[in-house]
Amino acid sequence: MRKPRRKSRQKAEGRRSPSPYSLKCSPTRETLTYAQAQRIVEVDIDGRLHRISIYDPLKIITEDELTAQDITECNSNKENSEQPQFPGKSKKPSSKGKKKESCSKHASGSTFHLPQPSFRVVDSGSQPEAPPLPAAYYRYIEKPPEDLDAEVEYDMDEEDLAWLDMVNEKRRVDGHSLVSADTFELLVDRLEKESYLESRSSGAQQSLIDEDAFCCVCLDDECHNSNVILFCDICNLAVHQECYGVPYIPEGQWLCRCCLQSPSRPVDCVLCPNKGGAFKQTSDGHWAHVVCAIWIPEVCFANTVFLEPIEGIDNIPPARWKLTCYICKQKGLGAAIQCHKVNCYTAFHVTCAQRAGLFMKIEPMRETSLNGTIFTVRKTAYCEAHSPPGAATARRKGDSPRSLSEAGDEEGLKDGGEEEEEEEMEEEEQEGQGGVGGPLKGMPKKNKTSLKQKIKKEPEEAGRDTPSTVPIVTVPQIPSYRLNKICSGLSFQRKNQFMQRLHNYWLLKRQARNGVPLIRRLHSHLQSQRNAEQREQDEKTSAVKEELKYWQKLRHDLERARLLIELIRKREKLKREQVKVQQAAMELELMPFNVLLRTTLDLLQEKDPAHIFAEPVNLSEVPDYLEFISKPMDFSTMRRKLESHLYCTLEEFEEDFNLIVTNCMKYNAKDTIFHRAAVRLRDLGGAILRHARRQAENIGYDPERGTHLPESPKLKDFYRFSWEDVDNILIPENRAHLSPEVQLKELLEKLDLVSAMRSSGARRRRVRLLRREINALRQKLAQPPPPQPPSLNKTVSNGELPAGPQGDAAVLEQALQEEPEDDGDRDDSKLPPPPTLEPTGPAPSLSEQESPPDPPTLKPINDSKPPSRILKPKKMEEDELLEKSPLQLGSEPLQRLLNDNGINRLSLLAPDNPAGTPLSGVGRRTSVLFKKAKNGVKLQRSPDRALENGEDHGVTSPPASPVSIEDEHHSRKRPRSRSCSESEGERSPQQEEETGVTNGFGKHTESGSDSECSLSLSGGLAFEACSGLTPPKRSRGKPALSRVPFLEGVNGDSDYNGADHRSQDAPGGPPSQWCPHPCPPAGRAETGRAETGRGWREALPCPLL
Amino acid sequence: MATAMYLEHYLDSIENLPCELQRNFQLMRELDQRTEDKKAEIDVLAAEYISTVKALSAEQRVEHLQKIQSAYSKCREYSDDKVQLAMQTYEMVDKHIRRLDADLARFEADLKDKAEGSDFESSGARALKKGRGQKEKRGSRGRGRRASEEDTPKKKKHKAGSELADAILSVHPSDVLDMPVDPNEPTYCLCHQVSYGEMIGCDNPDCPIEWFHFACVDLTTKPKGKWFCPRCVQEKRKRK
Repeated sequence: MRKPRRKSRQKAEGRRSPSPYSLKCSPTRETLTYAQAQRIVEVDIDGRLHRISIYDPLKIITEDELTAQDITECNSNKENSEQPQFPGKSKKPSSKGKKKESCSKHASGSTFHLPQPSFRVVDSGSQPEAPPLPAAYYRYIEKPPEDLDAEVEYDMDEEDLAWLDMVNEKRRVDGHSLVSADTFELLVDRLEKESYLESRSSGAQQSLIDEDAFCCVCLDDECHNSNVILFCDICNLAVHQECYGVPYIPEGQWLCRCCLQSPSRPVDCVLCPNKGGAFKQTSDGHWAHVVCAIWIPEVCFANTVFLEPIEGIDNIPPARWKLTCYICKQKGLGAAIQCHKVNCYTAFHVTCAQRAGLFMKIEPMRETSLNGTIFTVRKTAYCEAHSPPGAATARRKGDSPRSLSEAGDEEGLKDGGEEEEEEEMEEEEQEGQGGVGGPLKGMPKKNKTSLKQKIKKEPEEAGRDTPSTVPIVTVPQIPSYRLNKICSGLSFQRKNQFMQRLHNYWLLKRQARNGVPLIRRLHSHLQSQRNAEQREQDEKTSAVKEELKYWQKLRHDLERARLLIELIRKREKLKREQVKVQQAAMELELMPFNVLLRTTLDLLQEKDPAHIFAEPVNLSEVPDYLEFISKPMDFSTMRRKLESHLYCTLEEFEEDFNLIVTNCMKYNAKDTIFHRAAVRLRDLGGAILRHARRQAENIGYDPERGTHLPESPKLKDFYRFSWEDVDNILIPENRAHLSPEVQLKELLEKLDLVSAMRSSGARRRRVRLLRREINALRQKLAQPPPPQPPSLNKTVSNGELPAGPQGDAAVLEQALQEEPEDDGDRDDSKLPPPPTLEPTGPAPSLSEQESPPDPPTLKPINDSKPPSRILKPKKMEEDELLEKSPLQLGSEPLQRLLNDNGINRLSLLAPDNPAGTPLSGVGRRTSVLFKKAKNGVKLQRSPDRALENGEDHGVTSPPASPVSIEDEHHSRKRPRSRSCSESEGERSPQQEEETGVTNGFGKHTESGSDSECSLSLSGGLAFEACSGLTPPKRSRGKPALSRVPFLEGVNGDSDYNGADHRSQDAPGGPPSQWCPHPCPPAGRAETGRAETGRGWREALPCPLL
Repeated sequence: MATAMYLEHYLDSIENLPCELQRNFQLMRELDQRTEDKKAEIDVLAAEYISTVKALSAEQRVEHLQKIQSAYSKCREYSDDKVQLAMQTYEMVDKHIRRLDADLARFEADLKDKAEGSDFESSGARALKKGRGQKEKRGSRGRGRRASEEDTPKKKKHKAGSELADAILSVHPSDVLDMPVDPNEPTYCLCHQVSYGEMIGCDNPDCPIEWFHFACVDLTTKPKGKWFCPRCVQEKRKRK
């Protein structure tokens, strides 16, 4: 927005006659183009530089006038058209009058007097001392509009001063108090704000910024930051900054030259017949379109930056004036240009061409000549016929400027009346003032009237001349009650009258400023007011947003609640777990022993996948069960007992377990799955029980309370272990000082240890050695217990550790099994026979020649596949069976007894001797024998039956001799026992042979594996059948039986051998049931033996062969 | 506002949620109290048992232990009840949340329609466009569990929305992000992080972790049929 002061000046310019070339003759050099510079003469006069256009007529002036001339020139250089007679800008009221005078002079066009500088010296020239700067920075804080509204923002300008002076003068004359400048400012300020509010509330007309606007000079709508499209605030003319020569965007209002300088009168272009558009003044005071000036070659701009004034119209050749525009068909109106196409003489006005959308292009060119590089533009315009393709689009654009200007015209028309009114009002006011006299003194009456006439004339003109460019000037009307309110706070005389005048003055002033508010802030606000509607929408959206926010907040809260509840859920789950754990812990605390037993029981039951032992035997199914089994037992009963705290020690528990196994074995025939399952269970259970015992010892239980001991026992580091220990104990001499039981225990422990190791070559070897030792020991130990056949098992099991006598037998079995492996002739036993052991195996066996008696026993076994029913267990208890059985059977018990005795003796003898060698020897031997038996059996089972029998006798007989000490029966069986324990000369050689043979055989006859099982079984049975009580035999037999479970993947704990033992014993009871053929067991056994014997015998030859 | 009718209904429905929550929590508290009482009782019993075991016959022992046992079973019962209650509460809140989500989606859709109906482009809307970038993030942060079903359609809707709707809707993603991270937010998965993105639940009801991030279990899409977490798979194998 321009400063008001300048405004007035412009107005003055507008009114003065358009010939002020003298003011413009010295543009600064920098703004000149080369071409212009060529046409300018620089003159240096008295050290001052003067630039004078060569076209300008040089006036001849006298010396007197020279100084004045200089001054004007200086002023013009500054582009300051302000009259130099107000150099001091004094605010004295007199200056106002002078100014007006000068204005009127200009307007009248009279030759003007150069103004004389007038000045006076101010007396009190003392400059006030600047206040000391504060330490802190000043910071400007813009006040919010609310605060500003309360303040007085308006500053008087000179015009206001003048007016106020006039008014005050009048008031003085009338005898009223003067109105101070402050009051004036306040009132004007209030008026402004009131009008602002008014316009806002009335939703003032919205001049939307036309996004599609295009510059009416270049018809382009591109808009860069450095070259924006400006809109005239009055006629809404749209031009580029560069196209209209506006290097800087003025603050606030911007008006085109036409609206600025000739607001009330439409201007015509001297170069074309068209109206509207961007005009500039020519150097001779006419108007012309900027486009026309650009396109007509002879015409140019004096100042190429501001693009004004237009020069060179005189240079246009007459021929151009005479051209007929082919678009508007008008001749002689303005200058036309011609199509640039060669040989085309079509002429058209520039603006006509623009509106018609002809092809008109301006390109910047760079020409290089001798003089240097010149930047010029090349303009090309074609007539319709020659427009290059693609130019058609321009046409559409071309149409709009016209419509735009026409719209402007119409508006102008409408507003003509309004303005007239206002101006009349002004006049009235002036008249009134004039009536009073004072302030208007300086203004001649003549002037006033002439002005009036002029004003009156204008409306007429407006009426006549259709196109009136006077724009709408909207000054919001302020209702009178508002006016009253505005001045209510003030008190001075004749307030209302003054207010009326002030209001009118203000209205006029606004009018003069084209309705632009006098307070700058409000002006900018006015523009922002356009956004009022948007603001409304914003409010709406923000309301919606608020609502959304509310919901989202709710959602958040819910989400948090959900999270918390999720946490609670998790917590409760954990608490539940905690309760469970607590319960378990409490159980452990209160009855740890029971817990141990329970887990053990669970483990045991796991080994009974078929649930054979899970429930008590159903007596309705097996009515005679109780006949054989006095104390039935099963897992469920055990569990019941356990839960009712009837087990105080592990032994009690173990006893029941053993009972299960023995019962089963007693009642069921050996080849039934039940028997086998029992054997298996015994094997596996033994290990578990031993482990449980170890655990119990380590933990330390108080048997009375079933709780932990107050102090935990010293932990035997059971699992600490070194190979040396094992190796040490493997050497018989090292444990010679120990009793066999202790030795056995030791060995078993070591075995457990070793087998718990990770598998490795060392481990396997030691396991084998250990087993062999254990086997041997057991065999040795087993001899003593047999004396009491019936109770044997139980006593054994109960009496000693799980590894007890039973274990011994088991060990033996293991040993047997292992050895077979070693020898490799045993079937495909899963354990690969390590060759290294082979030599050791056979060697000891050879050393002890007890084996020979065995072979005979084996023979009967062969037959005894069925004989398994024969079952030694019956031995004592089941006399019935025995009775049924032939002599042999009947005699068996006796024999057994005898044998046992014998054995005992033998065993007793054996231990007495240096323990190691003989024991081990026994084990090996037996195993070897076994193998032989197998081999033999395999080869010739059936054929030998007859022989077997015979052999049996034969076999028995030879032993009998040694045994002769006792009964015949004894003697019969003794041989075996003897053969086991003692070396019988007769057989020993055979055995030796056999062993050798077996070895050889083993290698050759591996195919026999299948039969082996049965054979072994039968063999085992046979042994027992014959020598039932004799441990060695048992042991021999057992291995065979145990093999099955063994092969089935038993770990090979020595226990199972023990288990086998039992199983063999136990099943003895029920054989009758199991074997459909009530054939005498003994007989079968014998036959079996015979077979085996044959087999063995025959086996012998084979290798020999 | 007419548009918010269903929202009003929603408000009505959610009105007594706090009461229900309170009631449930009250119940849980009572159960908790009872559990604690039982535990104290058990402690007394246990002490008594230990001091007198020696003198007790087997039957007496059993009897005594039975008492403890039954007390424990009561405890477990309470615990189960509590868990049940917590799950029920969770379901309740979850139901409300789902409904709110649905209503909000509807609300947003309505707004969008309105925005399209009156075609105005407000500079305000334009200014708000900035907020848009954050929106994508929100999708990923999302709701742990139901994420898969809910979030994706929502996001699509956003994209289709007009500028204004966008502008308005763009407000809430930032809100979601602004929501302070609850330090107590339950953690899930093998990585022990809070839930984000798509999660999958282990089909083992006793799974201690329950929920897993897709990425943490090498999933990209929802597997068909039952799914068990790595841990539960191991456990299962062991048991077999």
